[in-house]
Amino acid sequence: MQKERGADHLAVKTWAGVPPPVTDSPDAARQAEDNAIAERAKMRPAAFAPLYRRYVGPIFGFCYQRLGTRELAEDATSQTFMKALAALPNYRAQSFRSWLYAIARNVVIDHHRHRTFEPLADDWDLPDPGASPERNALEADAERRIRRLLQSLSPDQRDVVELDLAGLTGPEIAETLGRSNGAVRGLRFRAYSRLRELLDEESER
Amino acid sequence: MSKHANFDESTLEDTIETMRWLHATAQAQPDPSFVDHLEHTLMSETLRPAGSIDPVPSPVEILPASTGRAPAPPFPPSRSGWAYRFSAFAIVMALISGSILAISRLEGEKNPSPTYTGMGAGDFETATSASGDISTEWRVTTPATAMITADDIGRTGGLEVIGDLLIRAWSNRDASGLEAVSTTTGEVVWSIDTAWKTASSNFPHAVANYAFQHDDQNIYVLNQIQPADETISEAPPLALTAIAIASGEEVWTREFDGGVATIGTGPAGLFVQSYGEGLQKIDPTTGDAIWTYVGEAEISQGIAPFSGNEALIVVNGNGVVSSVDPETGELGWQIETGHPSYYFSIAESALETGDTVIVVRSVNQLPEESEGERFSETKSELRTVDLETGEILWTQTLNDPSKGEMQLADGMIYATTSLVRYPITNDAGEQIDTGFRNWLVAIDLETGAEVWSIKSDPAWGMAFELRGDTLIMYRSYGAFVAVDLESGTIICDAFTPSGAASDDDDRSPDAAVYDGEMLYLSLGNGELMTVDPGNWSC
Repeated sequence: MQKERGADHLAVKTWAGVPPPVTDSPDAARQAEDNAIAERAKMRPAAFAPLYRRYVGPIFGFCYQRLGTRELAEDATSQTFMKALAALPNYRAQSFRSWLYAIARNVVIDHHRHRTFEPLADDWDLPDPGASPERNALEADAERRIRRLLQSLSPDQRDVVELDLAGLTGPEIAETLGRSNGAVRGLRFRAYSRLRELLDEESER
Repeated sequence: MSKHANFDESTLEDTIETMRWLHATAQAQPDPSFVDHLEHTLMSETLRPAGSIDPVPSPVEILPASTGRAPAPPFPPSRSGWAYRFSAFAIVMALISGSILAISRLEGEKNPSPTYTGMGAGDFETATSASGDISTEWRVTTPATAMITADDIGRTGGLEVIGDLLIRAWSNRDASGLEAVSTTTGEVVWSIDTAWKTASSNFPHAVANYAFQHDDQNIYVLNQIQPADETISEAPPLALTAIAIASGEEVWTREFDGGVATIGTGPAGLFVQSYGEGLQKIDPTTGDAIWTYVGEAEISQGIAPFSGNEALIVVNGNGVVSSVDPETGELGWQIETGHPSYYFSIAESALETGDTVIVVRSVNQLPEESEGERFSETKSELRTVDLETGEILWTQTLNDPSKGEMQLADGMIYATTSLVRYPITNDAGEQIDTGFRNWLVAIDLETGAEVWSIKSDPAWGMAFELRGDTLIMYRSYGAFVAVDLESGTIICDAFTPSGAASDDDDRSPDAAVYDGEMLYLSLGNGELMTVDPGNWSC
């Protein structure tokens, strides 16, 4: 293929009838922006604030899912961001989100290592009593169901599904877990296949 | 093909949707008082390494003027009472909606519309079909089933052919190591565990994402030295270790004040930028400083110095490019690129071959604020610069979000771009969707004119090598591509053979390197293997 182009290649081009290219995919744009902010924060730690605000909620949710109580989730969230901020000068990962979740995951694992028991269902925090009874019931039921479903998976599958539900892309999950993209795709496929079986069993009861 | 290669999300769509609904419904939100308290705590911390050049702003600076928030309340506050519950719920909802708005502004239509030149619409290059009949001379399974290291533009710097050894740096969340394998037999010559120097498994990326550098004698790796009490309140500063290529033995380890920011090697020597000591030329036999540059320009924390036979190019975070004498450390010329760059690259081949022109590519994609709206702007520029005088010969604005590789050979610049958006139209010419493609573009060094370009699926990798009249690009999912440089046509597009791992998809090479005769792959399952490309006419 040989495409000779004249001097007009230096001019800004648009395609007839369509807007000019605006940005890359939302994930790529978010990732690029995260990285840009992280780079800036390396030189000016205070610039970390937008990343904190963007991810404190999801990281708390991730920790809560794994630890089961608000107290532990808050503790793990605090540790995650403290460690992330401390390690930021050395941040080189492709995806800031992957990097942050990898730290959170390790913090959660450390929590489990230092605990003598796994939380039973009754140990988990009750839903907010300030919410409506209907809302409480819905949340409690959803929480019980998702916990039971996730516990039926292998640890590897559960890792992948939890990160998938947290919104991470396949490559980000691979980076978080230190696995290849192919391995993550396989685990994801098997996990959701298993979950489909379980949901089918639920509906047949 | 792998049994998962055709993973069809639609077949499990209901399951995935159900799980997402359950997850969203059960998703716990943090208390706003906790969020505020933690933010206040984080921003009050002084986590900069001692001696860091950049001052740490006071926490007040990070609070947007428009919010004007008061200091965080004591934590934990009382959590009893309906008033607290109601206000907490209201604040959470406000924060959620505010966050969604903020993020959509960052990612959505409020973005200004960057455009790029060249690389317009056209027919897609159709690659030749994949081949499984590729000759393999040896194939070994190493103990390390781990991801290979790579730098932040996808160059697989964790895999290099040095002499007759294939050196692989690997890391996973539990360990990291280096190993040398004979390129002729696949025999493991030496293997070392570098985990003793990593900070902890809590920092899986601290070492994993550093590609190593090397000269004729040593490999240089960055590492974090474990605190004696194994407590980690902040990241240990990065030290530099030299490892003998021939034996795998540690030659020296040196700690730098504030930790190492970047390292660069080249014909002119080993150069280190540290947070506390600035730019230094290092004696590769001892680790001692030969000279220290003390300039007004601040050091960059992410841009390694580029060195050639008689040139050393340094870029700081504000986009100032400086030429430094590699023998004396004295400043030569300086030019302004006009904006701070979060990514910067130089076609290093020009420095190594002693060309008089260098090609500089800078990418700036930083959040900006205008009239209260936040948006993200990307600006990518390509410049040719006279190495002797620093005169900028021409500048071309690409304005794509590219951080791709760039090389210079025989009067041509070869550069990759990533994820360039293009419209998908129907027969009537109406846009019905948006697609993304990566590009490989060849640009005339003298004029800046684009000679040819190839666009392909998003699976295009961004790492490539030039070998004679062939360009070899490493694609994701186990494929590699060879491009004829003169015509810009794809002459080979092939997959690696299936791996021996239990999961076929693990065959995807995490890294590939070509030494001019043989392609060496590091597979996701820890295998190393050769692929004989023949004449690339596969």
